[in-house]
Amino acid sequence: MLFSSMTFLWIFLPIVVIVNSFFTIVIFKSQTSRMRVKNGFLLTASLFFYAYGGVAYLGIMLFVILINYCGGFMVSRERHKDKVRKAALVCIVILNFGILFFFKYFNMFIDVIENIIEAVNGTPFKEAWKNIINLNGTGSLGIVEIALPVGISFYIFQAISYVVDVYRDKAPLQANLASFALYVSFFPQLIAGPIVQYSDVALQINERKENTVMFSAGIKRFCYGLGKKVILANTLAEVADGIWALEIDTIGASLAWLGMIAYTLQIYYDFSGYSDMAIGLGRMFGFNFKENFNYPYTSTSIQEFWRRWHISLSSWFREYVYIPLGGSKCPRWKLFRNIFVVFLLTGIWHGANFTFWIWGLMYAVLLIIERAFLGDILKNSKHKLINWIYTMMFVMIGWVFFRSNSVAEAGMFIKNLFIKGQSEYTIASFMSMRVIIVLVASVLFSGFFQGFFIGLYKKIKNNFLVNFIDVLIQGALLLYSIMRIVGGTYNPFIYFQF
Amino acid sequence: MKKFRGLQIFIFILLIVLPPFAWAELRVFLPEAYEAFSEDLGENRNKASIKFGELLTSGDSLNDFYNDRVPFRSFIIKTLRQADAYIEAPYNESIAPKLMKLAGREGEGKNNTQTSVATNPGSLDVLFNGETSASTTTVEPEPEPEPVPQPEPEPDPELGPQECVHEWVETERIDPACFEDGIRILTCENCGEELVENILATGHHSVLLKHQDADYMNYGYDEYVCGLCGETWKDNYVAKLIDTSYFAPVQIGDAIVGRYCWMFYAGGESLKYYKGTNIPKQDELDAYCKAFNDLKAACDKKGIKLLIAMFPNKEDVYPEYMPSYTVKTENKRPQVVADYVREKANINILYPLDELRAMDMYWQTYKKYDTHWNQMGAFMTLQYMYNELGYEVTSPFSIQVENIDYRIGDLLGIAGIDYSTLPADVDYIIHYRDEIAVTSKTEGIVGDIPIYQSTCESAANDCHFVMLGDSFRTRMIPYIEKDFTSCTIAHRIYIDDIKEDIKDADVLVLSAVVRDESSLIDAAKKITKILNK
Repeated sequence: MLFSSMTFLWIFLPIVVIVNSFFTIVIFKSQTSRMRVKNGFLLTASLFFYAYGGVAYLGIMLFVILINYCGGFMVSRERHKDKVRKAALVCIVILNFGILFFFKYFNMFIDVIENIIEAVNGTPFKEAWKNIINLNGTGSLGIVEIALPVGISFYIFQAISYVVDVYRDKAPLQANLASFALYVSFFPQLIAGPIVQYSDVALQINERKENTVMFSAGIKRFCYGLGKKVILANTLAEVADGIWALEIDTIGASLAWLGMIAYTLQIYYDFSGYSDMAIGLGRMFGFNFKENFNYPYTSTSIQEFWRRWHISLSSWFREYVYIPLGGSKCPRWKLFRNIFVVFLLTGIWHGANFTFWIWGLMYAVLLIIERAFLGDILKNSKHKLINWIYTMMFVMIGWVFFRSNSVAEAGMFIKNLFIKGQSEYTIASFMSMRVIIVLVASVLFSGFFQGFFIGLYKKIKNNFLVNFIDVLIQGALLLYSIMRIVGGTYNPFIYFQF
Repeated sequence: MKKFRGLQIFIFILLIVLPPFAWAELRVFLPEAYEAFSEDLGENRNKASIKFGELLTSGDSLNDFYNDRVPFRSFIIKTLRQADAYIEAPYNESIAPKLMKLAGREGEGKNNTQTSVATNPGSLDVLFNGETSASTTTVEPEPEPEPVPQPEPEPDPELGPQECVHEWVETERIDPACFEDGIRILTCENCGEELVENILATGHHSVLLKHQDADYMNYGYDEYVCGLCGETWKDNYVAKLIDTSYFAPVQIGDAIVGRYCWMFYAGGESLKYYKGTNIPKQDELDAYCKAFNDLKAACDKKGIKLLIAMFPNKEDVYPEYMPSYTVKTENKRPQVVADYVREKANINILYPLDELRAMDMYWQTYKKYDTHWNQMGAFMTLQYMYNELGYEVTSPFSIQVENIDYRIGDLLGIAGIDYSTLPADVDYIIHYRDEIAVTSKTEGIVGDIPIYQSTCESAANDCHFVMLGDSFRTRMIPYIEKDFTSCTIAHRIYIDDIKEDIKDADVLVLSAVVRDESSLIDAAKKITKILNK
């Protein structure tokens, strides 16, 4: 179930909000028993939320919950000796990654193996290599494709976070299976994050505070998030998808730039909108999740970009990969190795396609260069606009790899950006008033407007009229988003066959 | 925010909780208001149902189920459309031209030329038969002076008994019409003898009634009226102006928005057919030949007349309204296939692209907002089919044709555009043998029936006509059913359901719209198998 669907907005969410509020009103023996009931209800709602996308996938998630719950006991210092704990940790991490590999990367692995077999059987190496890079499997092994369960990358990372945090004594063992299951499966962050580290929410599971201040803050965040996703990201997606759907040789330079910019904005508003909704929903139920984005497109270096983009994922890799490898307090070559490993893994985590690998490696190289010398130059530069252009150019080129279906397609697209002249399509083919308004708003609200008016906002944020307008804007965003989602349900039968 | 926290929570709850409840209450207590809010959006389908078998791996059917029943759905969609139309109006008027200028395309192809009408292909004669008022160049003979009776010569007294010296008086007169001779009867006042004289037809006394300049949507012409008989006709046609300025391709889903509100289809391989980028390879051409040759041989064995027909894509019939795509070749796939099959397989294969394009001078043949042809397109193509098969052909000029407004279309459905905001399209009611009664064996709306069967005792052709095609076939049914004593018209996917009809056929037409022409091979193979059994 998606937050931006009518089943969520007009069925699931009202029911969960009303029932949860009911448990707040009803008198319980103690606060603990109230929390227990509430957690039980939120867990049930979360499992239903997940099962809605396919009952079979629920079994996989329950399995992951169960092994990590047991793993928590195995790695707990209070229960086992260090050797056992360490061995258990290794086993559980391998098991988690094994599950992730099977569901996420097995198809890719088979495509590669099939082409290697073809190469051994006489297919020219160049052709086989091309097929490997573009993941064109031959089907010779006859293995059925494995479907990817929704959100598996997120909840497995959260589960690993729990086991490692318990192993490191950073968080207490969670003996209550339901509470642990709620941590892994809590519906606001289940499908697209943010990736919540166990140590950050361990206390909130049983001792959170719910009040109207939190609920109100949650509503505000949810409405703005929904607006970002439905009004901005979905409109930008119409442009980006339309351009990427064209035959690659019909895309001229201007159109390629439009497609790249539209996708750059789309992915930000889509992802950050979803994170805002998750954070907002969390607050409605008393949870405080960490921020996931901090205006990444205002960054003036790649290092800064990664401090602002998908913060929960960067934090996870920093906490559980980068620092264990030695972090930055090690010889220079090791530092570069650590950066390389982290960003290669970041790329791999994003999807089963070599395009994501290249995307991750591009950042690894750029970050190493910045660490080596460029970072200081950028820091001391007076021309921040040039820094920003440099950063955004690479960020946007990175998104081309991220969006393309194959490495070859990405290569062609980038070539079109700089070489291809006029073609049959122009930017006018993908424009409308709505798209223009959304493009302008998207650029302005990606941090520039906020940065410009931050001083003013601080002064007027408690102004009566400003607050009133803010409430009206939230209502208008929610209403218009609902209208656009309902508008998207129009689905006529097309009379072609008969 | 503290002061407005209550208002904020109230608005939020109002927007996520109230609509479903209000909807349920409307349904129970105010069914009239409920009906008013449930206006049909023209989606032309049943509401989605839950696919329980798929729930194990997907909740899509649950979403679809609810999406079709979302409270106030049609009201919201209609309101959103109106809002979008309001927002887009200034864009179309002022921003789009500036964008084109920025893109450097506004000046392209300003040399719009007024060209003369394309010469009608010879095969068009089938429909004209020299009897069209529209295309006939009227010959206007100089009106001849009415003959004056010559006085009889004076009688010669030496020649014997005196003969009557006639004094002719006109006693009766039927005036000539423009193209029909008249007569006058002269009677001698002395002897009563009658003389019948022919008065030659005058020809039209044409008076120019109206001069219509060609524009981007219409042919230019002169309209004349005859001063004698009052008949009007059009002549001196001038081809439509061709707008060669750059027109940005805009796609909404699989619908292309073309010039002057014309819409086209981009789904499947349609655009490849239009751009000429899917020219068949030799092995594909050979596959066509083999399949059609085998079918021809099977039909010949059974004494069945065979015709293969490819109905042109709308994008090729009305390229002047298509956006500015790069067309790589004018000799596109269907033409290459048709030419090759005619040459190598010696099979009747019809691809009436030029004919339909030329006919646009007189009638529009495809619908503006739909992927299909209109009644005239179907009727004319049927006449070309009859011509190929050797049956009597009816000129559309010889029968009554009524124009009707027609707005709906499947492309509007694809794009989700409200038809009421668009200019009307045109379709026709063709009064074709209205007096003939047909007995249909199939119930339902003709256009929706997968297999249509009928009999007609008074049909001109005593034979069983079997046609296999796609959605284009349905508009031919009202005419075919009156021309054959027995007819079966079905979609190609129902070949196995009409095996007996195929075996019993006297005439077999296998057809497909060009964008789906590749399915002809499989269909031909299946039919061959049935006939050879």
